[in-house]
Amino acid sequence: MKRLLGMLWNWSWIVTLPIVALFAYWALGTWRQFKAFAIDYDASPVAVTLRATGVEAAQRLQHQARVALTGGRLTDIPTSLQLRTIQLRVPDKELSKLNRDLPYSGYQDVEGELMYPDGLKKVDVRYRGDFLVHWGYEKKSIRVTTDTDDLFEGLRKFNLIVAKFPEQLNNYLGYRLAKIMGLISPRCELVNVVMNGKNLGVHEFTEQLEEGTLRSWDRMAGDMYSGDLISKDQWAGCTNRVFELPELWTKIAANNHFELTSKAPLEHLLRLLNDTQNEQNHAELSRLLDMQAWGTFAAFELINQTHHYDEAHNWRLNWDGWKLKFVPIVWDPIGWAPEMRPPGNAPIAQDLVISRLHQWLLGNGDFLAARQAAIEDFFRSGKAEKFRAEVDWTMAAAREALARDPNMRPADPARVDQAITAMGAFIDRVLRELRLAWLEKSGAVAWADLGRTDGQPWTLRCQVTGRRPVHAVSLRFERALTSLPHAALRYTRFGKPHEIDLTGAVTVQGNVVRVGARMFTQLVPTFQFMPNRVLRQHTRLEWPGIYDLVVDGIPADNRLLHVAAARDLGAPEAFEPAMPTAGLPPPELEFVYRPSPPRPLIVPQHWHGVVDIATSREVFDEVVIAAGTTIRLGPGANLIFRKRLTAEGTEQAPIRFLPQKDGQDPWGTLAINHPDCSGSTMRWCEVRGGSGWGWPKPGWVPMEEYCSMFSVHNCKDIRIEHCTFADNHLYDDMIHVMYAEVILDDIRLLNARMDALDCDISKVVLRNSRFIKSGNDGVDLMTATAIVHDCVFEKNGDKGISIGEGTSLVAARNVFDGCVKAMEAKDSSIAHVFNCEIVNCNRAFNSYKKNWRYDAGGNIFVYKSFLAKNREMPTADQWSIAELIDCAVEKGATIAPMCDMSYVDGTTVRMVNHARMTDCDGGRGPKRQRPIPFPAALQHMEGMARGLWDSMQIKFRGVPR
Amino acid sequence: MRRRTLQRLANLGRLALLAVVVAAAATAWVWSYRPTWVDSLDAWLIRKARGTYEQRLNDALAIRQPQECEAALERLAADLHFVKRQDHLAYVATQCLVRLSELRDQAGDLAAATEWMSEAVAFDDHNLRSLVRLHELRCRRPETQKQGDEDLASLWAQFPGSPWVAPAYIQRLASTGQGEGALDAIEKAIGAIESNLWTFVWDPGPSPDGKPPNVTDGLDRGTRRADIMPTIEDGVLRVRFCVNEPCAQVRWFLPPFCSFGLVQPRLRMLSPGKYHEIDLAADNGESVHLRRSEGRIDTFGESGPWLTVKLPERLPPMTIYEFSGRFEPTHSALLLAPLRGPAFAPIEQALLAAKADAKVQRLRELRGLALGQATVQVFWRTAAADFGSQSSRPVALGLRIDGGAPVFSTTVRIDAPATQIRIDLPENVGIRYRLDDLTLMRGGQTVALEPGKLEFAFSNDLQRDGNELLVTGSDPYFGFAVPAGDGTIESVTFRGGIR
Repeated sequence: MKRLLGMLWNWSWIVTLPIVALFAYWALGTWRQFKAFAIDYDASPVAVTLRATGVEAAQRLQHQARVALTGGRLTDIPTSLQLRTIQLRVPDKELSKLNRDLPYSGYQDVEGELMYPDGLKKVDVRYRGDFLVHWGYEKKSIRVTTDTDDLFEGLRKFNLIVAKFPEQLNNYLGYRLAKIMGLISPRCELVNVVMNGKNLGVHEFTEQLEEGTLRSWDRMAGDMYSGDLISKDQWAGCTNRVFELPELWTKIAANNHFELTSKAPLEHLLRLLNDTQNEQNHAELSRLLDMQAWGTFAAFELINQTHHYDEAHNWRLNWDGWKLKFVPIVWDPIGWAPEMRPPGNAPIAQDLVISRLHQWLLGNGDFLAARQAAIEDFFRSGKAEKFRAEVDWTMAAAREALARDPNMRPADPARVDQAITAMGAFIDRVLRELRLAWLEKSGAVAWADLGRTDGQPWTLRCQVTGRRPVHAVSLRFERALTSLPHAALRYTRFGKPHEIDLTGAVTVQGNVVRVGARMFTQLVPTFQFMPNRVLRQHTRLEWPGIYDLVVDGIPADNRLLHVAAARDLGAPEAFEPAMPTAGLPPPELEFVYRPSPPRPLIVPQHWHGVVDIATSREVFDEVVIAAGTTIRLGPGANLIFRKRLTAEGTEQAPIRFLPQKDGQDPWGTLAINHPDCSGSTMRWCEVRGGSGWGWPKPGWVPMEEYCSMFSVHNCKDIRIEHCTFADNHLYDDMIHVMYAEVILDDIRLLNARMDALDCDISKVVLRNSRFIKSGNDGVDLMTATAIVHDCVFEKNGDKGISIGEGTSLVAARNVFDGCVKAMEAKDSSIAHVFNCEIVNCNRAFNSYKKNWRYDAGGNIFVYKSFLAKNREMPTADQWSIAELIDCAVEKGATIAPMCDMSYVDGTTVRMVNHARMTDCDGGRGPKRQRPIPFPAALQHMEGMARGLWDSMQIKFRGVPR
Repeated sequence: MRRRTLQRLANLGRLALLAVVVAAAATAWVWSYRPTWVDSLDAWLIRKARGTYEQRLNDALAIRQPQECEAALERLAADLHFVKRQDHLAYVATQCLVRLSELRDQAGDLAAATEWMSEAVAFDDHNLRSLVRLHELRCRRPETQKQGDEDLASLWAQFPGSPWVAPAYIQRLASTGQGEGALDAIEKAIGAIESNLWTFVWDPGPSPDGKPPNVTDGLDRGTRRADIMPTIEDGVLRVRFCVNEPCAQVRWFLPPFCSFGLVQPRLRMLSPGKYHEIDLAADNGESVHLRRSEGRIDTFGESGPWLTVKLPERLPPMTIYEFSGRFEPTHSALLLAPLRGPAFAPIEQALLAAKADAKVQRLRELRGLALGQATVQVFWRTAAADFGSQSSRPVALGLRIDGGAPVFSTTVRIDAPATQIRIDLPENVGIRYRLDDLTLMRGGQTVALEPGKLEFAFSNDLQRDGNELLVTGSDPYFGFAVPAGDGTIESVTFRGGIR
């Protein structure tokens, strides 16, 4: 026995030494963490305690041992559930710099390397995040910045963000939901991060918002504002409420047409939000905000049940200077987080009133209607199912990766697993309750016939309950009506009467009158105590909304028989019976503004003869301009149409837009800019002598800008035919098309100062037209979908067609004669061109990468075309494709092995020419006579371009005449 | 070494390891089963690490002798070199540096004062008061004046409506002869965005049986609160909402830095079968940074005005509350404060000389508005007693805007057999008062005096022209004899305008 004890004693160190080592490691780690983040750094709102720190340290050690021994490898995960791995290498010396004095030291960039598909490349690495969770533990949130020449998947900056909550997936699923709903949001992906060969664990790969984000969402580069005044961005001595302090927002991206530091649009919005709510201000709010986007954003917030967009932080806004609208950008939603969930079985929030912006929106009828539409669309269009499927996959994949994540927080796998399950259950509950509240039939419309009193027109008083708005009211009378009645919606607010003209929304069919009156229930501010959820304590309670629908022109003896209301956006013709009632209280509407947009009877203006526009005019009516009319515009005068324009001249009597006097300074811009302009036509018109408006006057920051003589913005189904545009001044473009769908047929653009036709983020059909002596490009396309055929580009100062930034183009039977370049494709654009002639140009065509924000250049394929007397054959850089296929070229013409590529900064670089030539020779007869299949890369425009493609003359090279 | 010695050492080592293992086990047990011990250790460690510095700061600030105080603070500042902006001890470091700067300034050592302030700003460049103070110090030194001016202008561009920044910038412009620039800056400051967000805090109070509901927070903890925006329609401000809980008292936090008057402010409460109404101007609940006077509440641009209202009874859940009052916007007295200083008198003269009439008019209006919170002191002499503090009363001038012009109406209770009355006006060189009415109340009867013809028994720093009085110095006052008659003078009322 003694011997045994002695042996045990002698060998006891085998057991005690590891325990001592482990204890020392734990104690040192606990002390360091506690000292750094409880004693020294103020980590509030997180409370760092000694006890919790010690417990967490112990759990982490336990978990790391478990993963090391039983976790398995990332490559063991089934392929369908594998997450991508991002590999970083940061030397220990650099890592020490980052970790030396957290969090302060972590915000300074250090040098590292990132694994690209083609090998390691230099990047800058640092930590990021305002709160402890991002840099206070083993796994940290990292910001990676690449070199401008070496974008990573098209990104200059991206983040690898750690999870904030036990369920790990809050932001990732939030961003996926945002993308499904069509909200501008950063790219986000769950990834494993391996640093210096060690698995750091699961992170959210998240794009850092910048101008490229807007481009990836097919938006023009414009102002992007960030409102964040928490943590290190907080100021002592001010309120730190972002909606009061426009000067403290940061501009992440800027419209470089204006002063870069200006925040004029933002200041305008914030000034409005700090004014009082009234009808006028709500009309202005509807003008400033893209309500469809904001309605979708609100639906997104409800589905996430997030109150993370508050008075102090997380706001990202894009000011689109062409749509003249603010659009929300999703950032850091932390959807379905534990602190966002209602306690116990309490119902979920159906209205989130977190900031004054929310308060404004919840009183705005346009917003309420947009929110309803967005929620209905989410459930009816399959987006809900698509999102739910993503949730399922994500949870399965995350579980696999987390089982191998040595730095998972919390370090208790059972707790994480439970949290993921609970999150899934909560998502299901949210979807269920939202569907019930917003889609199921709830509430009713009651009505009382007030008849006619004291010479007043016939009045129907309506009471609306339930969340679904009323979109239209149907009134069935005893006898048919013989004329169109006038209609209006009336209500009072604090005793003051308000009336909305709805005559333009009235239709009559026999004895049924339908009025497009929009009515809502009211959402009354109600304060409710919610422990630990102060931001949720402002809730809304439904109160009946009462309105008077006034219809003038109903004969006194024509009795009302039946009232029904349309409340289902998905079935706009489905009317639900409204209930008659003896009496209703007066229509006092305190909490809803702009319940219905005004819909007066549209009486178009008719213009004829000579119309003088001495100073700027904005036209809010529909306008019909008679053939032969001359519109004379004074110096600097702008003419902007906000509703449909019909200007149909004839060949003998064209409509002219000219300077008021010969020799005067140029007039400004002629523009059709509003969705209500859709369907506008211009035929046999002449536009001459204009310039633009808004830019580039130094120091001036207007809300609108027009860089062209004639502008088509924000509208569809526009036809411009048999028109001539000439002699524009001062501003770049002759015609600018933006966010529009336009057909231009038989137009002549002569002597454009710079670009003749500039099309951005639009769908364009251009045919039978001539572009003569433009100062720069004949046609400039950016993120456009276009077909161009049977056009002539003659002596243009730069390109005949510039195919830029993500454009898709099919072009045919065009003649390029004497241009600097016939065509140039850049920055992820694709062009397929056939049966063209390229003659007398300096360079036939070119493809290259121009903008560092793109990781690919342009692709241009030219088939069955004729090239002659061009100084240079096609060229392409290493990121691009420029290919001649089965074309007629001059005898002996070859693709040069090297070429010079010029860039906007004035530099010229000599490089290897990657252009190619296949089956080309000097004859007109082609080598191949089989039809060429429609390009797979242009599938998205097949509907638009198929007809043109099928017209390709496969037996001929050049323009068939 | 001999084997025995080695054996002893080995045994000691084993013993040490075993002791640590026992300590580890004890630690694990304490951590798991005695959390309060760990929490106590937590608190002790924090006190030990931070408490000393906090105590040293308090001790140093309490030292009356400036040099000793400085020395103590300098030692403390040196010891705090490891502290950073977001650390717990950041406020200690900041206070230390700021006080050192103040002491050096008081001692006339501007250079050192600026140095300390630079350190304070380098430590925390997100503190408005520190930044303003640094820029002001730089402006006072010729070698750093240009930088100070530029930095102050740049800070003001970021915070145009800040009551910490704007007055300093405006004052600087005025004192360096940039009158028009100062006027423009004032317009921009008073035109900056003013918050419209009110915060409502409610206290459910104990239930009638004395037991507290879920949690009785009281108003100070503020965990039962919500933000709301009022509407202003036809000049009437209204806020209406329900509270889904019983309510015994409420506190209204008005928007920070707001400046307005509310006339006839009322709180109405409607619950089933009950209606209550409280005149908030007359209610004597606690309030901060606002003034309650007859029939109105006024705020003047200070940081956090609030008022507390004890409700007539504990109101039930879903009571509707409506706060309303006639809204009179004014300009922040803090932002206009520089206009009360002497620097603007020469600016007015310069504008007059340049015949910039519109600007002169506007400057006078603004200078008048700057008196919004100004106090008038009324003294009276009786047969038995001369003018003195015992026979005087301060009262707010009661300035408001009427038809775009500043007007006042002030009534002072005297309740004494006064034979002479003296009225001390706010000092503001260049301001012109117009007296429209001057009446005494004696024995229930009104005695009207004609301000234009009233004979002054004495006056000081005033230039009179009929019923207009131009302030020409820093102690303007005038006195007049009370007309003969029986009875005590109950009050004196004077009304007029300012330009």
